[in-house]
Amino acid sequence: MLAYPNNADAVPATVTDAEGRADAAATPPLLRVQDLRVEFATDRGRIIAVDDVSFTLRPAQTVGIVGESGCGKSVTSLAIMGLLAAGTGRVASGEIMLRRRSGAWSDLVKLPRTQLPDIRGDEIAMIFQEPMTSLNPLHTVGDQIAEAVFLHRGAGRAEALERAAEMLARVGIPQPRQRLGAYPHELSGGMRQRVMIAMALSCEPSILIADEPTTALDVTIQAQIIELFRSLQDSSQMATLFITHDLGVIAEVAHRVLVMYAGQVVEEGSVVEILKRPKHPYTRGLIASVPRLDRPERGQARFFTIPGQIPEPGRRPPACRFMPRCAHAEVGICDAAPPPLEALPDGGSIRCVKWRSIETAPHA
Amino acid sequence: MRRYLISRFIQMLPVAVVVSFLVFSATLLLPGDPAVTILGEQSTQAQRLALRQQMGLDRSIPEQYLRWLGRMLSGDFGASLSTQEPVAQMIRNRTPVTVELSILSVIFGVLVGIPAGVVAAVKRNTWIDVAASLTAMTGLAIPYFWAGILLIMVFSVHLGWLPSSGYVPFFVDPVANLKAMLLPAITLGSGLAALIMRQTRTSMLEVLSADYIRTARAKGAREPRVVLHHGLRNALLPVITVIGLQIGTLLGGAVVTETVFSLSGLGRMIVEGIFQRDFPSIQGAILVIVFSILVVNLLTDLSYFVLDKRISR
Repeated sequence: MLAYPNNADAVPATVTDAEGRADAAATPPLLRVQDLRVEFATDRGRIIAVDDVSFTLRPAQTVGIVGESGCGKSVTSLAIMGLLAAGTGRVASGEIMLRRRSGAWSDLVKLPRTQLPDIRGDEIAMIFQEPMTSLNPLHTVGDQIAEAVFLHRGAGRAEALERAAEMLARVGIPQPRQRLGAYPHELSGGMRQRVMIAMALSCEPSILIADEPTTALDVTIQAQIIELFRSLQDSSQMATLFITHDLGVIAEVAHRVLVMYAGQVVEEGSVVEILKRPKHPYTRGLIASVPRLDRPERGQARFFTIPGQIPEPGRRPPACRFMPRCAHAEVGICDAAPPPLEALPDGGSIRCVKWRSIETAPHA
Repeated sequence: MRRYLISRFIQMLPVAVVVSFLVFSATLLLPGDPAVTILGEQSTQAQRLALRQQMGLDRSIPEQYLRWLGRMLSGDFGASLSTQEPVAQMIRNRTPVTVELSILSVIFGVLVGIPAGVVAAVKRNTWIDVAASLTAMTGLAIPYFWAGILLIMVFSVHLGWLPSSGYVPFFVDPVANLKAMLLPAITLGSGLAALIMRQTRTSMLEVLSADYIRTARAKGAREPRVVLHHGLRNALLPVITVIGLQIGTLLGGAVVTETVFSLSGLGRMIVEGIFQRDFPSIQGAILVIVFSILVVNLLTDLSYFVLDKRISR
């Protein structure tokens, strides 16, 4: 049958059940996103960009969100930051509960907009995909990092710059003191992304949102940045929401993984379950699509691709949104009703009514 | 930076030569004979011929030009044909008026145009934006002479708050000077304010959608800080270009404005010179204006180095 090539060994050896990167379920959560729904007003009416997304984030935990462009992963992160484009994007329903430094819980959806700047950069920090354009070209990197310290700690300029130098050293920039006076154009892409990370970490946020932080970088630089993330994880209690389309990166950094498709979570689970024993046909397709140079074997194409394209928000199939692209789709079952997100015994969840029969089906 | 400066100066040389030739020849194209102006309608043909010979007007045009250029370069701008006053002295007396008028107009344009542009961009598609844009259109559409006359009618004739004419040097009486210059500066600066407002609005809108603005918000900067600290400085570069390019138009407007408010500046010197066929004073005044424009354009380019460190490398 047309099934996905078994690509389980595409997952790097670093992901093992024994490694202890399993979920620290005992610690109380820092962030609880519940039934999040984000809408955008467009010329052609309202569009639901993100629908029914729920997850929790605990201290020292990294949750990865994977999916193709347009699946809603960036929108989810911008909604948490309260940075959806004013006037067009808005959280239509759901809640984003943040455990504040004080220990109290705040719903970021209901919090007055004027209070959000106190949280941004202090309790939740964010880094972006494009290091080349994410730094202000007219300000020195020292001033840009120091600004966050100044805004949230009320530090004086000298003190804030001192902190900035300390942060530059921490993210592995040589001669940090000299680099304070550098302008972004004087730094390489990898260095700029380190500056962005230094800026994000300068106030010791409890949550870091990283939106495709390595996508725009060269492969060797990507590896360095991933290494930096791992060392930061080991040395702090900070929780990370890591957004990427790159399963290799997810394998390196994440504890738990959310797989998103067309604005919905289709599968959720520990990184080992998701990468080694994917259940949803979409997840299986994503993993099979990781290019394998070592395995152009037995008439198999070197690249496996999921046929078709992600549907536009206005043209999503009414029931299972992945059905038109799914090799296991069955008329009468898959188009009968929207599949619910079903909880699994191992703590994960899946949105597919046929996953049991697919799982028993042999791989290619 | 130094190499850039040197190359800019070298680039200015041919421009200066072409411009000086145009200034020289423009007066030749003006109808009317200066000999008639000086000697009057009653003079004989022989008298006129003798005077023309004395003034060098009978020589070939390239020769006239070179002799003229030589005199200009040595600082000898000649004497006014109508008053015999040395043109260099006229320029010295009148330049401060025009310079002050231009500076005050630019200050007015910047003080009104930039805040209005920023507010219009931040509040885009609201009634505030529409009102600001409509005001700007009006400011652009009103001719200088009409704006000047309106202002005189309201503030001098009806309200009696400000004088309609009469220049007092700034160092003699600063208050009286500014009172006399306020209406002219508003007249001349309103069009500039409108242009600055529109350019500020456009570039601010572009800047506000930049990634680094999102970064500024993500680190917790509040909106006023995002707009002013992160947005405005990035949005100002194109605004400065517009101001630099508008200096020419501004000095053109100074001709009209100085006439309306009876200010004896370079603009009025040109107008009076044209009416009296006073070639030396027209040429002197225009040369000063043209070279000021060249210098202002150079200063505009140099200001980019200060504002944007990326350019200096």
